[in-house]
Amino acid sequence: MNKYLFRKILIYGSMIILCSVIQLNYPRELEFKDMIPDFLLVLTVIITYFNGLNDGIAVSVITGSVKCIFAGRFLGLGVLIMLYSAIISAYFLRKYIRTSIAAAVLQIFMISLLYFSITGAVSFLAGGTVYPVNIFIEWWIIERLFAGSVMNLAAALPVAFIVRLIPEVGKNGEIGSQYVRPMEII
Amino acid sequence: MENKGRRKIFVIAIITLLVCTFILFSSIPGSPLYKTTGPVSLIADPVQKFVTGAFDKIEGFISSIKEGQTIRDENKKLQDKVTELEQRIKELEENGRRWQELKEAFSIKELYSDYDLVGASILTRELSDWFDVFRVSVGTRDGITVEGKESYAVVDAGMHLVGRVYAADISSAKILPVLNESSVISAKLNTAGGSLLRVRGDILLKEEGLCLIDSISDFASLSIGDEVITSGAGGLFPPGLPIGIITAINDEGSYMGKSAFMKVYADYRILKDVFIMKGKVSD
Repeated sequence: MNKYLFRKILIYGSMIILCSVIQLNYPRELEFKDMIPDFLLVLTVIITYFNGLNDGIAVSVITGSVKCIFAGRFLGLGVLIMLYSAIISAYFLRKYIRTSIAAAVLQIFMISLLYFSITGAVSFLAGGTVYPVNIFIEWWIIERLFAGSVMNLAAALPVAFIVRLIPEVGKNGEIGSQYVRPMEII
Repeated sequence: MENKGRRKIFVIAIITLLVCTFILFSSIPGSPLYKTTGPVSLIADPVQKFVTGAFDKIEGFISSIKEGQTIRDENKKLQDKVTELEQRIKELEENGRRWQELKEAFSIKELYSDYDLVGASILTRELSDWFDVFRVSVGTRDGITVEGKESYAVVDAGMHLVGRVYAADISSAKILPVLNESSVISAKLNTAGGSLLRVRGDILLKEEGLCLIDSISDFASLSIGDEVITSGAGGLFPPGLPIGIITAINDEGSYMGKSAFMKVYADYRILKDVFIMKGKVSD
């Protein structure tokens, strides 16, 4: 294992642990409309955006498992959500812009909107409420879609800055073209 | 290049299939798959307890500083003493509260002598929609085993129903709260000959700590302020556990039909400890 790959695994591991700790102990006082940022989703999407689908798949399996083990009703659901968020992230804006922090944050916002739209639709169809669809949609847009996306957006910026510093490493240890030094970002 | 792409699709397809199989099997009540999370829980739980403790200490430290700043303006010397005393008072209040909870828990024990009460601390709370169960610090090694449709009622120190045990591994268990949209409880009014009702969670109501009451018979007379308790029907929850109080009643003509809103007694935001009532369906 070359030193870049080893360093990357170490950084990914540390970031997953850090994001999990923040996610699981997020202070209630910092909630917005009862929503907390999804640090694990943010981390998965941003790592995929900057460092490619291979890294994204590996990270999504771990972050998804963390969600399942600690708060999931169905084992595996978290992995499925994270995996497909990573796939979308790998082929969405990354196709056109590969290094922009602004694009990474925008990507988070759009994936959050998609994620909350899907969870809302499934929750409604699964009979999670007795309210009619128009009331549910109105409530979901304000309380979930908007609030959740804003919270994820807030978490995206610091995570994007840190992940941006991790170089994309190829199989043979070569560093990807999008790697920049910390000072270049600033 | 084409092969690389195909391989990637193949890997994604395999992971998806595996995950879907996992989801399917874990959706079976009492699935043994939950035992696979045991090793992770064994490592993560002590870390989680440590982190929670550290966060509590930091929170206490920050609040101490905040409280101290006002007093410091008035008298620097006195402030140090006051901060120290306030910290001590908080600790004593917390101890007093815990003592009261334990005392009340013992009264539950007298009331439900057929059930063993297993005390547990909350380790992690819900994260988001679909990831909305909370974990507590007891598991199969404490005798909490969820098999088939057998489960346990979970109550707070005031003997109010909190939820039920959803799954358990060796050192932790997942609790499905009463407010969750998957939760359905057979209940009745706490009056002489109180009518049977159905209490269920609703996505729109849970943030306000409310549940929906439906399946109300035509002859039932509900009033705002009526207490709702578990009926004992179905065998999952022992009869007579208080769940909440009726706060609003919807007419039959409304889009919800004849229904009511119930404010749940258990306050999930401040809940730190719960008690699992160990008694099986067949008991």
